[in-house]
Amino acid sequence: MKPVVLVLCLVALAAQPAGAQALDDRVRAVASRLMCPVCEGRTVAESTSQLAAQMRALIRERLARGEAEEEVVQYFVDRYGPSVLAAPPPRGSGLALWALPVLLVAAGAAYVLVRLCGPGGPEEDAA
Amino acid sequence: MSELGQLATVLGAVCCAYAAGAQAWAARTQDPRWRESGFRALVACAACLGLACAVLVYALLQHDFRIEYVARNASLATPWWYRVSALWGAQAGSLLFWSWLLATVGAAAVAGQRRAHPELCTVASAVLALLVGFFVVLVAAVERPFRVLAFAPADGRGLNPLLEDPGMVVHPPLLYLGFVGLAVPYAFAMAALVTRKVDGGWLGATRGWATGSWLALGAGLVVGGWWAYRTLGWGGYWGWDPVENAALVPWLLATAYLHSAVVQERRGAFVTWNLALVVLSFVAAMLGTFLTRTGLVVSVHTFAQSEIGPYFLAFVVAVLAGSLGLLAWRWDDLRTGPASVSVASREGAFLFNNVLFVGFAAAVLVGTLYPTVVQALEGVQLFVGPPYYLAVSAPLGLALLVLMGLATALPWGRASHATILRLRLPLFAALAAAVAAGVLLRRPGVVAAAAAVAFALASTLQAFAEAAASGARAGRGLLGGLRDAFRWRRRRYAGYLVHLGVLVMVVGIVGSHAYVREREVALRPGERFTVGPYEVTYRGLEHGGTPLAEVTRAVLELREGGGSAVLRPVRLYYPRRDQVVSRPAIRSTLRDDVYAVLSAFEGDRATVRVWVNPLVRWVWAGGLVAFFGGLLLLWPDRRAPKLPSPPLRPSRDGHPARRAQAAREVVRALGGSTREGSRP
Repeated sequence: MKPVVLVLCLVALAAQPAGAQALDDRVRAVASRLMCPVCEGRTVAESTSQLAAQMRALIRERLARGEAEEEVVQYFVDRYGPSVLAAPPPRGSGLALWALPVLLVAAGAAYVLVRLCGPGGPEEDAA
Repeated sequence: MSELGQLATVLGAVCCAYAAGAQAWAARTQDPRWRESGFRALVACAACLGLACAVLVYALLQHDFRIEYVARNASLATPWWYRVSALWGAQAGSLLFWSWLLATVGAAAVAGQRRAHPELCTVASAVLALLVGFFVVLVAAVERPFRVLAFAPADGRGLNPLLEDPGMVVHPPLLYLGFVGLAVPYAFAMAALVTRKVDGGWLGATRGWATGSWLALGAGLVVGGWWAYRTLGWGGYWGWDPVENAALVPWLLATAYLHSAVVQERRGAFVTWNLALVVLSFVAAMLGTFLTRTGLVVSVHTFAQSEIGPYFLAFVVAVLAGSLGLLAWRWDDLRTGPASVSVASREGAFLFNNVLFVGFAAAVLVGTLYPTVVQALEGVQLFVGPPYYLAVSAPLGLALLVLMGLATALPWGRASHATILRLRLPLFAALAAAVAAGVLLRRPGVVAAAAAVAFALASTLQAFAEAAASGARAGRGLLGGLRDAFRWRRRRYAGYLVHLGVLVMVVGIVGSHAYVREREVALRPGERFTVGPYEVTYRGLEHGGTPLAEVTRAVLELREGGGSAVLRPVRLYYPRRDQVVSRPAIRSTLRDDVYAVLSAFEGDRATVRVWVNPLVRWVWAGGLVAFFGGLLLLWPDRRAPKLPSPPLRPSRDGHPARRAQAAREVVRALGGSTREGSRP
């Protein structure tokens, strides 16, 4: 049991970001959640456009000022509308998007389990 | 020239119609002469389409700019190999090429099986002829690659410069081969349903084609990522773009099918499910083609768009409805006895594998279609991009890795005490990896991935070690044991080799996603900055030109510790197409890639963007290993000798503890990453 506890402690420790690279990583994290408005299909983190570069600079400035990641994202949503988000939040129009994969996999796994362990399954007609 | 091409295309369509008709008649009358005649028509169709392709390639090579397709996609300065690859560089040509591939692959598949399965082949060639026919009619009537311009320009516009890359010469044919290859199992599955021969003959007859198209799709995906990485200049290799997703979904479904097909062969279970999976993967391939070729979903690299949308949609709907209708109609024939499959067995694990792979495919498909559907229903514009796909694929990928480790250790039939013993080493490896990753890397996601990879890796290596150990016990040596495993259990061990490749890829994928360092700076010559462990000094710009483009290079000096290197990212301007292309410069090692892009320049000032992408090489290396594993899977079967039976079954011979001990010794001898297991 001891190693398991040790692992859990380490995992908890690991959740904290480490030092100097933290701001870079946070800029990247926010930029990855936003779409570049002028180029189709690239996030702000990936895009090579001028606008995306300015948006990255703005993200850095606001995070350095002490704003939370959510606040920075919300700032861009207020300016460009919800289509600036790289993925819709799991509510409203975006609910089905996030719910469907979970439901499908859960339903599939449940069906397989019921078929294999339920009545008529191998437990009864085992050779 | 163009008349010959158009004539060949039309003749191809006529041959298709005749082939379908003759085979339908043959299926009704069981007359072998009609069967033979229909088969020859399919071959003739492939020949006609081959001629049409050859004509277009000849026109491209000869700079025949009267033909619109040539004028748009080639120029005097385009090198000959890119003029050949221009055949699949845009819509009309790629559709022609695709029809020819489909006809050729179909004719070859039927030719290989028509002695063994004449009745299946009759219906299958009718189905294939109808599929080819649809595409040929599109080519001949709508796309018309041989359309002639009123005035021939002196020079053509040239290929899209992004496509002038060795990766783009190989990538589309591989994907097309994968897509059309899936048509073979589909056609035979339909034939099995129509002729009520659902016993599995169709499955054995098309196993090679299914494996081959799965391999081609997978290779196409990796080569596509490699091309994107080296060409597009955004620092990554996979953007979850609709075009990429369109190829990923059929691959995921084909992977599920390859696993469940094994269960049908060994245990006679999953009959209906396999038929459904084959239909789904083929429809997914068609849907993917439809989505990306018609501009319905927005994509950065929709290189080819056109007016074929409505036809294609009708086609996909017809294929899906027809196939599922046939499946429902034959439902009573598909009733088999209760499949006695235990949860804790390899076939049980394969069932869960199918749930996860199909769920994965469904999630990717949902994400790809969601914006279009929401736009249509609610008029809301939204985007589904990397955050969604990463959130979905990370847990599914981890679950698949765990399942990979479990399935390798689980026996067919039912798990026993020996199974639990076989899981000790993988579990210990997972624990060790989790502790090590927890101390060193300190990220929950990475720790979980490390544990899952270690678990699957130890389990797979243990399988190889057991094979080697049994060879040693039989007096054939460790290597002899491995050789025996690949000779007599070739498909299983080739599969494990694919698994090893995938594991190496996963290490690369996790590393390059979790630990990217990136900097973008505007610099004067002589100025420097640091990114990750590297110091980058900007030395200035170099200007040059090619016949097609104005070229500007930034000279970047890279230093780390004692070593140094020079990177020259390029910005090209193509005046004829008015297109700017940034080509990255990459310095690649096993540890990380330094990836530099020249974003902009003014005078001698330059804006450069430099990424440090860890472990990217592992992605390509793992892809290569998996590819060779896939080739081994395709290698023709060799009959297993009756005696001596290679002692690979864990529960049959030897004391389990002694076997485990031997296995551990072998793992150590092979330099595997496992450690001495804890004493029970």
